[in-house]
Amino acid sequence: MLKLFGLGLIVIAGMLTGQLCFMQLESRYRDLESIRGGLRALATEIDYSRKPLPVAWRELAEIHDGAVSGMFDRAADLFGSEGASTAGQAWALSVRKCREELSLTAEDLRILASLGPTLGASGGSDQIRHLQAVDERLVGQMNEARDDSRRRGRLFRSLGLLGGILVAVVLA
Amino acid sequence: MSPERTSLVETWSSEPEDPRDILAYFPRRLGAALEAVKRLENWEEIRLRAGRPLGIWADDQLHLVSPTGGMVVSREMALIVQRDDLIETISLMTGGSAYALEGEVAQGYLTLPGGHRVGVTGQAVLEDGRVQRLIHPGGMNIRRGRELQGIALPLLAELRCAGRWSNTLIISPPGCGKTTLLRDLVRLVSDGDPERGIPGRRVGLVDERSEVAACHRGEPTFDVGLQTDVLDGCPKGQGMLMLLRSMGPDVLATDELGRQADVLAVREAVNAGVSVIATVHGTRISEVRRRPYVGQLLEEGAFSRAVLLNRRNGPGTLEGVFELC
Repeated sequence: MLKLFGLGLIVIAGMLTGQLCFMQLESRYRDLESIRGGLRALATEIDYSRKPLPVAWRELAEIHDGAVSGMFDRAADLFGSEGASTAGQAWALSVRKCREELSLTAEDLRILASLGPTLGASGGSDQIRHLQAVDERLVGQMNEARDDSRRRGRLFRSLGLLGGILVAVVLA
Repeated sequence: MSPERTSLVETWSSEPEDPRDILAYFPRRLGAALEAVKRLENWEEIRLRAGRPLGIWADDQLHLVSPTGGMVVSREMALIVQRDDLIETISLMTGGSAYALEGEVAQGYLTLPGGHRVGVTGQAVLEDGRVQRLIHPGGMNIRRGRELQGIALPLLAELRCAGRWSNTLIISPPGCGKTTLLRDLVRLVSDGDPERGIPGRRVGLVDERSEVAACHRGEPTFDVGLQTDVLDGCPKGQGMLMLLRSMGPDVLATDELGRQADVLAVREAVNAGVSVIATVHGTRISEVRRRPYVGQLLEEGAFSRAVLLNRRNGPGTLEGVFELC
């Protein structure tokens, strides 16, 4: 009886491992979705109210959930500090510091950091163009993340379950 | 009227605002030197020019600042401003957001909270013959905004006629206190002066360059009176007509008349029975009369009073209040 219980636990552990890997893939998609929503809202703030970036970041961080909230908040905190006297530098630093907390790939982070040199450094219409360009690249990354999550997610979950069963059979 | 009268300089001497509030807008290197300057409270202008010494204009002369905040005479001992210092200063002043003030910067100025006016020079980029933006900044001049309450009190009696505010033009060269005087006058017209039996009036203020009321997100940071409606950042001519149609002002006020649209709006207001108080650059009334658009208004008798200021005894020296018609 105890042996059966132990084997059941092994199968469940395998399933959970697969589920965990799937959730990791899902959270990349969610992070990208949150950041994309935040950047679109930022474009609206720039276009319509012409708010300075630290003010817009702070306000958007309060009304948005998820990855972008922390990213905006941190950029607003960093602006004006050592090495962040421009908004672009503050943004690039914030992206770098948020790396550990998010499930983004190196390519995702590179795209976000690419906003740095231009952010806040030109007129309104130019800023919107830069944000739109990044948005388009983020859409590509999101599609990739979704496909990845569907394809590899199913694989991870199946592998987890099968792995658990295999270990249980071997031990039995 | 009172030709060649006394000056208002004594009443201009009090400084209610913190003179160091400006330091937050400078990069560390410049901010640290400025913070150590002993007589910073007297600053009128801070001048930054790429490749040249950091300078403070105070007590009617330019002082060069050393890296440790000392006042030095020799250029070699002074802190030399780099182009990167200018770029960082502009970034800090615009909140890292050039787009937020692109219209102002294209015209060569921006206004900081507190009403400090920043002039910017650099290479102009033109489109269709108009300046679109400035690139490669070469210099900056930060002029101090002041709120000095009560300075217009001695003038009130002379600016009123038959219970109404006279159409008044405040004339002076730059840096003589036109805007500071206009700000206090607007406050007094709006609040009235019970001691002199002057009732408060509804005032419409068009503050195109955000210098008079120093609005921060639409709210005045300077006291411009209880009954003053401020249209911030709006072109003067357009703004005066908007206020005239929508806010029912008794008095319209604006800074630095000059364009044809401003003149048309003043004419419209005067013909609608609304008093106008405005400022204009100039040293003499005859000089203003020769100017293309404002001169036309004077010829038509749109203004009945002129207040002339100079800096003979410091900013705000009153040359006189003159009757124009």
